[in-house]
Amino acid sequence: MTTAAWLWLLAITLIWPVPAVLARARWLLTVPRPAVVLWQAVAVSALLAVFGASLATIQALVFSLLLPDAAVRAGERPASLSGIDATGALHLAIAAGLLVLTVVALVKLNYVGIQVARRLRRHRSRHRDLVDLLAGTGMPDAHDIRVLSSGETAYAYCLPGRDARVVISDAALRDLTPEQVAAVIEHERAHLRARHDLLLEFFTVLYEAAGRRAGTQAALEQSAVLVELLADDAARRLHGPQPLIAALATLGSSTALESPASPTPLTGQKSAGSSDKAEVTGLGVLPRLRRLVDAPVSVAPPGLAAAVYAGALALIAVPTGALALPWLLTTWHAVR
Amino acid sequence: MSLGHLERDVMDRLWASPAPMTVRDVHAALGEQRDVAYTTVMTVLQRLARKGLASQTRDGKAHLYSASESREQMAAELMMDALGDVGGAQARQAALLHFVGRMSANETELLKAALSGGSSPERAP
Repeated sequence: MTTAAWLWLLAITLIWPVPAVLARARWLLTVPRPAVVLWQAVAVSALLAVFGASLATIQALVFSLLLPDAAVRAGERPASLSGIDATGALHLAIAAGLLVLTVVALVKLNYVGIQVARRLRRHRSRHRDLVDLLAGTGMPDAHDIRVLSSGETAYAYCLPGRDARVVISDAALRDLTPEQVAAVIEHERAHLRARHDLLLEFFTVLYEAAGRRAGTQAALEQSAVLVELLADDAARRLHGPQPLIAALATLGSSTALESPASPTPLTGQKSAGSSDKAEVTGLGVLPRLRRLVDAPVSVAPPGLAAAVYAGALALIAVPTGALALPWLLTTWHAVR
Repeated sequence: MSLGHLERDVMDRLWASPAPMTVRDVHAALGEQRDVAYTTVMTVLQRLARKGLASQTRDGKAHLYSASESREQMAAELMMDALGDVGGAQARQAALLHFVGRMSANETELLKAALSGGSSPERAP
């Protein structure tokens, strides 16, 4: 197969089957940090494959009508554009169309990236202004914590970015023990320290730029679950798993009171729509619970973390070394 | 005295006042309680206007300031925003990272089981 065909195959594999398989892989949730790296490697590799495949196709089409294959291999100069027949003109038109599509895709990706970044920052900035104006500082020695009084609703969240805040409602302070509050705050601070918001922002951009296709949605949802697991890990290192489990129960069910009394999917119903929705609304409560109940070290098979890191590295290195570099070299020789 | 605290105090004056206030008005109102420089009050009012929390109008030479929304409106917006990001299709693209979203009945049941020291959720259906 040609370089272009291999790159298209790689791109399609990374966009559809790979995310679908990874999203269903429970073992991946036992190694959240390598898993986050793997998801990023899949995304970067898919992007490189798509744009690489487009360029390789354009190059192959243009070269095929400028000079025969043998001449390319011999490193001869392309002939002039004169003397192109109808098939040649069609190839040229396809190449031009593909070039336009590639440029449009690149521009769209950048445009969406800027839009998402501005939207998130504007939203957070407004929220931070309101929080600073209306919320109490509440807790001593914690300049980044704000306490909102909001009736009976117990919740906690963080507001990422420069000048980050952890916000907790007074109902949560009332309903949780001091130890549970400390664990929740440590969880949120772990998000802020590790800049999990940037990771989610990256996948949000891909999701919005590429549409709600399997790959981008799975990547966004899974990375959202993985950062929760990582934040839980950070909090349990200081406070142990029990305060987090208790806080999940208290804050999760308290927020549920606010939601309209909608029929919740039962355990047995595995119809795609309803079960997916439950997973989304719970923000990955089940994987978090599994990890909190079992010790994080014991749930991961030995060597799995290293294997996932190696897989992530291979996703970037193998296509670059086996496809992109040889293609660039031959193209360079042919043009020179 | 942090600028944040001063902003809250200045907003309190704007909310309490029935009519738009000049910098001098706000300075005088604050001066009853504490010693703040006139220029500091001006800076704070300009910051509030830049954030969209206060609105600035011009009356001849003087700038008039008023709260752009009532305290209740802002509190309602803040609450809606804090809770609105929980769950739903937008949760993944959210500006805020919540500790936990709305749980389904199934998830709540499993949590209760885990809390009561029962079986691991792995073994649950």
